[in-house]
Amino acid sequence: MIDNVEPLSEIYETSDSYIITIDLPFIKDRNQIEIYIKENEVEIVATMNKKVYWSSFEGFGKKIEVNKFRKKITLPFVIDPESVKATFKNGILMVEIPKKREKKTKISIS
Amino acid sequence: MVVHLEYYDVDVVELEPLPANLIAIEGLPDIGLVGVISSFHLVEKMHMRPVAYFKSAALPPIQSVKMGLIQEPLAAYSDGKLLVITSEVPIPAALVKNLSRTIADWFYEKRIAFAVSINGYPTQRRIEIQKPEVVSVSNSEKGLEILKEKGIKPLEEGFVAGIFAELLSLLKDRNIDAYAIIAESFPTYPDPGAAASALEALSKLLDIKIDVQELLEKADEIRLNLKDLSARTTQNKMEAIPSMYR
Repeated sequence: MIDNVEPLSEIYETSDSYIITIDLPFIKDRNQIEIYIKENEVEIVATMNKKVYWSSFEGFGKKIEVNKFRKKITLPFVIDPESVKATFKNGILMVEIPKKREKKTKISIS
Repeated sequence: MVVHLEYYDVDVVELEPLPANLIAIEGLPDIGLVGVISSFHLVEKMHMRPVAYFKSAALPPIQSVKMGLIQEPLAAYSDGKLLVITSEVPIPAALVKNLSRTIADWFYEKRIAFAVSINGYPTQRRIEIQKPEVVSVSNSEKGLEILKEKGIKPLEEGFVAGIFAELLSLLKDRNIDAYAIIAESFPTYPDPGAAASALEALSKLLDIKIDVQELLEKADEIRLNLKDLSARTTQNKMEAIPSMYR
């Protein structure tokens, strides 16, 4: 059976952006990766060039065939897709999502 | 808030008598699983056999199975010269202190020659690094001189944390020389490249040949297959070590 596997990922926050890194073994080229943005959600799908065997702790070590990584990450704001930058190097995908700059409104005191 | 951690007992079950003067290698799950990947490679390439295992109520109820037979997940392997301790399951925070003490007492009882821990140190810029650098730490002046002689750069200042840090100190109390070889590593991803660098340093320290080419060729497979152990090890590490030392 061919299945998706959720890759290891990490999110860290800088003063002006969220950085997502994703470990993608067996992915050799950026053309194997698709990134989708929908409102506050980032979805990453990466397709391997071959089927490989993987076994999880939960699956009692039983090996299953996989050929895709799929990961959905939800952020606490609506993402502007135009501002998102992504790079792929040494098997790691890095997605940088700038934080939404909220316009400050001054409230007058009566 | 006071957090009560119950410290669990650890038993060592020996499968065969061990000679004195073995060189002990500790490669338990920690940053980048550098120790685990290195240990699995040594066990496989040097055709080591299981010689002991560790039992504790705190270990997760998991047994790996090979060819229909259960294999103890936290075990020691030997080829008659090296004694490698590694684990296929994460080490729970509540077990770190007592496991370290049990290993130190066992090394003392078995009259090991010296011990080497293999580990990773987390660096966010790892993605930019082709060949991770290695630093080292010793628990004795004599050990530090040996590291310098062998061309393995000592860590000048900083903190070390985890089982290997505990072990360095406990072995010093028992007058056993111990070293830690620490390679630049991804903080939370299995890192075969870091393990290859660490093994090259180990090769210099022990004057033995360790071929890391196969390890690098199998890097993708290792990264995928150690995904769950890596995730669980990161989770345990967060519980075991105060955030200021991570």
